[in-house]
Amino acid sequence: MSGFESVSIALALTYVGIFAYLVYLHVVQRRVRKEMELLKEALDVPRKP
Amino acid sequence: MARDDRVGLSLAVAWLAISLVHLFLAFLWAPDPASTAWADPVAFRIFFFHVPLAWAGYLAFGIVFAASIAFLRTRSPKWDRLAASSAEVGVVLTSFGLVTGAIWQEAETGEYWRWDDARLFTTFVLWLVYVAYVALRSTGEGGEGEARMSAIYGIVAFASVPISFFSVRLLPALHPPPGSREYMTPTYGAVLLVGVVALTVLYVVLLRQRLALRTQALSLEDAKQAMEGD
Repeated sequence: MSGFESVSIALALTYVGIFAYLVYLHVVQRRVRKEMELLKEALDVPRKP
Repeated sequence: MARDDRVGLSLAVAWLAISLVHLFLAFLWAPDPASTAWADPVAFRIFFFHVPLAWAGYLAFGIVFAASIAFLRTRSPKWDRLAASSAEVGVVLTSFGLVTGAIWQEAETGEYWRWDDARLFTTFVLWLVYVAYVALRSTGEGGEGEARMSAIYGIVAFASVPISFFSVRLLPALHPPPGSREYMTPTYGAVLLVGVVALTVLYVVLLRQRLALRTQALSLEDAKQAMEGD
């Protein structure tokens, strides 16, 4: 690999990888929030006698 | 927008801005290395990213160590959550530190990895130690017992950080020693400093996000258990 290729691959892997990790955290966080909202809604529904 | 979200967004924008300055300095401002010790002056620029990544990994594991001690002293779950979150972020950043280091080494020596290099070997062991910590935390049942054992692990595991850092001075290694005068000019030092600031801000961004996720996931788990208990 040439020096230019090495730098390009190293930086692309790092920035894309970090961005992917941020997106992963964001997606999981949204899923957890959604699940929490659903749970709260379910708890708010009055129970049948 | 909630205050927490605003702070998170401001930090992310700050990271982006500092990173752009860092990229400019690393590729357009810093001159090629004068030393003939480097086979490839273009690949040398990986150095400006590799070192801050390694620094951020060490910082993350230092926070695991401090939070683990704080947990054992106070038994407050917030310290346990901080330690677990910081360990995961540290593993991510150290992974990229190892990958960038391997690519740089390939450009210099033609080999991605050398098991006889003390810094590579000890950093790989450090990475494995914290991967094991993260794996244990993600498969555990939770609770006080797991938090206590994890805190002890987090304190003992930190021994691998100084071993990795000083290995290059104490053992045979191809890896250049930190701050060597052979390559560390004031210009390079300035670029590196901006990189360290960028990666420190990135660490805080990732840690806040991971910590918020862990806190929410634990609340959800508690709510589910309370519901099942009814």
